[in-house]
Amino acid sequence: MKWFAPPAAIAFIVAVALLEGAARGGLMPATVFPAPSAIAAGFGDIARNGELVGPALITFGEALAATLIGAVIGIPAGIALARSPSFGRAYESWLGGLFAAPIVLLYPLFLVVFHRSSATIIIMGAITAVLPIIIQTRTGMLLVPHVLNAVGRSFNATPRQAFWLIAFPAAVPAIVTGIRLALIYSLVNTIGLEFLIDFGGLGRVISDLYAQYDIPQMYAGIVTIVVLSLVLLWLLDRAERRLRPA
Amino acid sequence: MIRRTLVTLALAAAVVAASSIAARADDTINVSAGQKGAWDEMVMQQGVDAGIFKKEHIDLNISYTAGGPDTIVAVATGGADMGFGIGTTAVIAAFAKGAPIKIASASFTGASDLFFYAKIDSPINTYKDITGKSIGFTRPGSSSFVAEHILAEQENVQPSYVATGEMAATLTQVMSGQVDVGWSVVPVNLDLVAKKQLKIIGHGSDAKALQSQTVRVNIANTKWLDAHRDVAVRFWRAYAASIDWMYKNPNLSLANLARYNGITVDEAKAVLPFYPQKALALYPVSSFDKSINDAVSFKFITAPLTADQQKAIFDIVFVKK
Repeated sequence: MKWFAPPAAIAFIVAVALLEGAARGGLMPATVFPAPSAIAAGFGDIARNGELVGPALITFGEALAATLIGAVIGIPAGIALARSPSFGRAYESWLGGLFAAPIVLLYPLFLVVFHRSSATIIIMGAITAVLPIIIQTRTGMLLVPHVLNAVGRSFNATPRQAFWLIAFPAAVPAIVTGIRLALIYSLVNTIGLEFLIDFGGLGRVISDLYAQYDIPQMYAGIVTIVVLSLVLLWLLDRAERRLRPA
Repeated sequence: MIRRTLVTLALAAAVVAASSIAARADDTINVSAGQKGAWDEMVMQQGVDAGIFKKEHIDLNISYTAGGPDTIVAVATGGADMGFGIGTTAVIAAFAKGAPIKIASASFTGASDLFFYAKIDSPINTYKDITGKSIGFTRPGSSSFVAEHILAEQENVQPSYVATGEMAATLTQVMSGQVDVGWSVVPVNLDLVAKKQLKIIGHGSDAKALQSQTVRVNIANTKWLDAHRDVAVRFWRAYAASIDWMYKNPNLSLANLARYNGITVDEAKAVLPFYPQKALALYPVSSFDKSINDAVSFKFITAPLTADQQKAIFDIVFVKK
């Protein structure tokens, strides 16, 4: 795991030590920016109250489901747009515009249709996730080196063989980049929505802790999200390595 | 002769300097309040518009937040000098957990500004009809949450409680049939009542146990208050005068309220019965022990405030005679 390579670990330790010193030295208001040691104690508090593992599983389950839906729709859509240059060019700017749009603000509309439930969170997350996957898949398919296609033709590869054995594997790094972006955006979307509608996993927990002014515990919840995000991205890295052509 | 001229010039310079200091003597206070548009949250804006704060040489920089937690953080970090209309239990919790804040005055006593509604075609007509039905609240410990539980106990009904969030989200869930009963603070949603899309099924003022409890308080940043006590006294004098002005000049203050909320003056007039002037009294902070018990029972704090903490949480610099 490159995040825990020695330089990164040293930088992390130094940053934590500096924050601890700043909090203890009164350079930061401890009631708003607590010391890392207080946040560490906060983990124990929220874990004891059952507000850590269960909510984390809910949040990451929702984010993964949203990403999965995004991949199931986004990869074929990206391939289709790559194979149809006129459609691809027509929709490129639309997709880019939508990707930049704050879709989360549409949550009242989704609340009406899907109610205050995990469905609202997952479907809104899937909409956020599908866009980078479409964009990256299309880009990946368009950037398959011509020499690879030429090699396929020289071996008389059928269109199906050319796709599965040449084009798709070559596009995998771009597709995985899209999935990675999708995971990040759907996770942000999921937590933001949970916070907004006070429902679900860690976003709801953080909202409640904030309302009760349990600041170290709130930061513990945020740190949990960061750590689990890193784990998810690491898993994605490993999956990419297995899928990527040698 | 020269000496006399010099003395005269020096005196003139002193007078000019003194008058220029007096002219720029307005103190700026950064204040933060939630529920923009609510009658009690607009006291400062009303006072500014009526020129009351100017008379006390106070210039207000008013910002509005999404609610109590945001206001507490703004004051605790020094982003705002004072915060307004925050749930008493939330303030107790923040103080107990070390936030550098003090209760500077009461903000609202009772729950007369709160009402509960259902869709116009709902079979629910009063709070007594809600056994087995769902009712929305903002979040545990909020004034809607407290009032609903007290009313349920009082009326011996057993609804299911759903955290529907703030007023707009609650309305969406009621109108789409996800929740049977919603909550609101006047003037929000009164227009839908007037248009017969919603019906009021109960009021916060029905909760007898809440009638004498100060449910919201105003707070100040400890450091700011220690350094600006004179400014704080002038501020609270102007604030109290603004409340008096609002009730003595209802035509003007209701016209202001209509303007702030983009509603008609007639709609604004419907607000006033929900806000008796005594509910806005700045002193005393009533039934504080009950608020402490609420903070414990809603798990905002694990143990009641000690006697020392109960004393230290208050720093009331002005009491209207």
